[in-house]
Amino acid sequence: MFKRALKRFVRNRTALISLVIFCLIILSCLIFPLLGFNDYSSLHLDQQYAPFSLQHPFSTDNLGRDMFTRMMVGGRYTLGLSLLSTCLAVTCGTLLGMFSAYLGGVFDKAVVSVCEAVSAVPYILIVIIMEVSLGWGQGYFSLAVAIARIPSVTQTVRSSVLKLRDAEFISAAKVLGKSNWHIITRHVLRNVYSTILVRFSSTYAASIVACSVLGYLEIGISSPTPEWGRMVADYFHLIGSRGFLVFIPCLFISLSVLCVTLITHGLRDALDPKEYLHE
Amino acid sequence: MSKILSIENLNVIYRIPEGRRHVLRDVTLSLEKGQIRAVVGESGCGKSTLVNSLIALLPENAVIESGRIIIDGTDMLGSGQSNMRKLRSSKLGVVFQDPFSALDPLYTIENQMAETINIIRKTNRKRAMEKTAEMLEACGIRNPEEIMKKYPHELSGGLRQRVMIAMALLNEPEILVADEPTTALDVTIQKEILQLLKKLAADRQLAVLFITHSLDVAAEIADSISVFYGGRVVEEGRIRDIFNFPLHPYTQALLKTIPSIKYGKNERKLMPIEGEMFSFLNETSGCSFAPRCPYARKECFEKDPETRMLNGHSCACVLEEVW
Amino acid sequence: MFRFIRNRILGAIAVLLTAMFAVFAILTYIPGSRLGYLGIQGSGDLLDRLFTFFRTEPNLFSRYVRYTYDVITRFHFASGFRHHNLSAEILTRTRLTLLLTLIGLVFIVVVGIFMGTLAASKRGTWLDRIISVVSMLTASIPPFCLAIYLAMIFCVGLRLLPVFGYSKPINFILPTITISASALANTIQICRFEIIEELNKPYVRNLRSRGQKENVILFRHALKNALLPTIATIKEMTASIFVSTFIAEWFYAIPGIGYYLIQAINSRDYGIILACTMVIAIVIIVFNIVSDILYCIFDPKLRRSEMGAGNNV
Repeated sequence: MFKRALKRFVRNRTALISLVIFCLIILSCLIFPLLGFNDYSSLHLDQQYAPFSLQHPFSTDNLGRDMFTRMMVGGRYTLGLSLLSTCLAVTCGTLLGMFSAYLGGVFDKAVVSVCEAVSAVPYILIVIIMEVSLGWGQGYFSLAVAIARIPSVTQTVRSSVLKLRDAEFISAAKVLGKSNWHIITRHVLRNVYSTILVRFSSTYAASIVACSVLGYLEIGISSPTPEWGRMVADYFHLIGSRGFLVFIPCLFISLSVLCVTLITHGLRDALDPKEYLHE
Repeated sequence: MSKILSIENLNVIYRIPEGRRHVLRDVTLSLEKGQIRAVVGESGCGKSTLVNSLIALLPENAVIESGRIIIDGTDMLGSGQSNMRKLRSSKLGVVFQDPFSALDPLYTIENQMAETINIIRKTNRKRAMEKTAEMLEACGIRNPEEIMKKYPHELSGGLRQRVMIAMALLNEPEILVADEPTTALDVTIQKEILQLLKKLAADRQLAVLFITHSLDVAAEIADSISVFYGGRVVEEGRIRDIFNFPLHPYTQALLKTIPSIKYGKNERKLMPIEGEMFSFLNETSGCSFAPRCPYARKECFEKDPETRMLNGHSCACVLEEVW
Repeated sequence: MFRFIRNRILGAIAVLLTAMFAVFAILTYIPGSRLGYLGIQGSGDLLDRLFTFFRTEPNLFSRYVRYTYDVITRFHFASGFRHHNLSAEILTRTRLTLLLTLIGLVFIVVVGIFMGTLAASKRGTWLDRIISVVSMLTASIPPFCLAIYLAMIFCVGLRLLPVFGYSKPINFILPTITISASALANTIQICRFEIIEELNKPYVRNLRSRGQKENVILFRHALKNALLPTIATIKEMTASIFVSTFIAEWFYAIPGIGYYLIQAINSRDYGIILACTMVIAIVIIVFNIVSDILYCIFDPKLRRSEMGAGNNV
C-alpha cells in the first residue's frame, strides 16, 4: 500500500521536482549559515549594495549585510516556525477530530461549533489576540499560527473518521470487545493516515503563508530577525531603487509555498487510489 | 406487424491505451410495433454500449465501425452524433437504470417535463402542462397535478421511475429503450413498473427494447429475447422457444442459474457457470464463450461461429449436438 | 426555509456574543497589568475616561454587557487613547474596508464562475489547461508577494498605475487584484471541478439522450447545480479574503479597518484593537448569514424541507 503510493508519487514528475527543489531550499538553509562565510547581522556600512559576486551571491542590503546569508537564516525562521506550528496544528487537530468523530455526542457538537467559529475569523485576529494575551515570542508566535490552523485539520480528520466509524470492520472490532483506544490507534488511525499526511502538507503551505504575512505586517517578529516576510517589509522602501532586495525574499516565499502546494497535490493523487483510477 | 427498429451488423470499437477492443460484433436486432424485446446478458457484455449507440451517446473513444441502425425506415448513422441526437429523441425514448440521480435536483418535475417537450417543438406552457399531466396519468400516477409541483428528492424511487417513463414518452416516440429500469428498485415496485411497461406497449403500440441482466425479469415482460455474450448476440428468438429449447450452451447454462421454487421431484440444483467472466481485456479468437463452454472443441477457439436459424430461432454456435 | 434562516441568524448572534466576550475578556481582564503599563503613556483625559469605564462596572461580565450595549445601540466604542471620536473613525474606516471587500468579492464571484465555466466547457483543451495551471500558480502566491510583483511590474517597471491613494477608481485596480487573487483562483478550480462532476451525472446523460443542446445543459443544469458547492467554498474563504483585504490596506496604505488594527497592534493600543476586532467579527457574521441565505435560495432541499413542514400538514 505504502510502496505503491510512493511509486505513484515518484512517477508524478511535477511533484517530484517540487520535492527536490524544496529539499534543496531546506538543506541550504540548514547548511550555509553553519559554514560561516558571512554574518547575517553584522553591519558593513562601507559595503552597501555590493555587486553580485561569489562572496555576496545575492548582493548586500542597505546596511551592507550579506543578503544570501540573511536569506538562508531567514529561511530557518520562516520554514522552521511554520513547521513547528504545522506539527502542533496537525497533532491537536487530528486528536480533536478523531475523538470528536468517534465519541460523538456533546463533545462532538462543542468541537464542531468551536471549529466553525474559529475558522470564520481571519487568522490575523487570532494571532493578534494570542500575542496580546500571551506576550511576544517565537514560541507563542508558532502556537498562535497553529491555533488558527487547527479547525481545518479537525474538520477534515473528523469527516474522514465519520465515514470510517460505521464501516463494518470497526463494528467487528467492537463486537470482539476491543477498547476504544485500541480501535482508534489500530484501525482508525491506519485508515486516515493518508488524509492526515495530505492535510499536513497543505497546512504547511498555509502556515508558511501565515508566517510570512505576519512578518510582513510586522506582527510578532521583531526587526533584526531576517524572517522572509519581515525582510520584505524592511526593504520595501527600496522597491523603486533596489527592487532586487524586495524581490528575493518574495521569490523564496512564493517558491516554497508553490513547491509545498505541488507536493500536496502529488501526495493526494498518490495516496487516493480512487482519484488515481479516475484519470 | 411492421418493423420499427432494426439494427444490422453493428460493430463498435473502443480505442483504449492498450489497443482496440471490439465491443459489439455484428449485432443484429429488430423490433416491431407493440413488441417487447429483452436483451439479456451479464455485466460487461456490451448491453450498455448497445444503448449508447442507439441514443448517440457513445464515449469519445468509441467508434461505430460498420453496420446500420434503421429507425422507421431512415438510417440513423448518416451524420454526426449531436445532430442525430435530436432527430432520434423524437423517435426514441430512454429510461435509465437509476431513477435517483436521473432528474436534475434543482427543478420541479413540471419544469423538467416542459423542458423535454420544448426540445422537440416549442409549446406554450399551458399546453405543455396538460400534456405532462396526461402522460403522468397514463404512467399510473394518480395525482399528477400534485406530483408535478414537486422536486425529485420529494418522490419515492418507484414514483421517480414512473416520472422517468412519462418523460421518455412525452414526445410520443415509437420506441422505448429501457436500460435496466428496475434494477435499483424494490421487488414489489419492480413488478408494478414491469406491468406498466407491458400496458404501455399494448395500449400505444410501443416497441420496447428492455435491457436486463436477469432472465427472470425478461421472462416476465418480453415477447422475444436476444441473449448477449461477449458483444455478440448468441441466441435470439421468441420467449417460449428460448425457455423451452435453449440452443446455445450459454443460454442453457444461464437457465440453470435461475432458482426454481418447485419442490420434490422437479427440484434441481443451481448450477453456476464455470470459469471466469468474459472480459474484453483478454480477447481471444473464435467463440467468446468457448473458454467456459462445457462442449467446446478445437474449432470453437479457431473461428467465429456462424449464426444459424431454426424455426425463427437463431443461434451462434457451431456445435451439432445442441440443435 | 425561514426557520432555517432564523436558526442560522440566532446561532450566529450567539457565536458573535461569545466570541466578543472571549476577546473582551482576553484584552481587558487577563493582561490587567497592561492597562497600568499603558496608563503611564496615555494622555490624562482619555485615560480618565477609560478608567472610569472600567471602574464603574464591578466585574468582567457587566463591563462586557455595558460595552456591547454601547456598541450595538449607539455604535459607541468605550475606549481609545488616540482619538476622541473613536466611533466616527471606526465607521469611516469600516466603510472603506467593506467597499474594498465587496469589490473583491464581486470580482471573485463573477470572474471565478465565468472562468470556471469556461474551463469546464472546454475541458481537455489548451485553454482549460492554461486556466488550470495559472489558477494553481496564483492560488499559492501569498497576497503580499503578489502585491509586490504587481507593484514592480505596473508601478515601477511600466509606470502605468499608481501605488498609493484611494480616491480614484484607478487606485482600486491593484488592491482588488491583491484581495481577490488567491480566492479567485480557488473559486475557478472548484467551479470547474464541480461542473465537470455534474456533467458526468446520470441526469445530464438523460438530458442528452433527449436531445437537449450542450449549452443549455451546461448553463441551465450543470452550472446551476455547481453553484451550491461553489458558494459554500466562497463562504469558507471569507476569513482569508478579509486577511487579504488587511494586507492590501497595509500595502497600498488605504486607511481601512485592517490598517487601523495593524497600526494599533504596533503601538499596543488595546482600545482600538478591541474595537476593531468587534467590528470585524460583526462584519464576518453578517457575511456568513448572507451566504447562508443565498445557499438556502439556491437549494430546493433546504427551501422545501423547512417550509414543507407547514405546507404538507
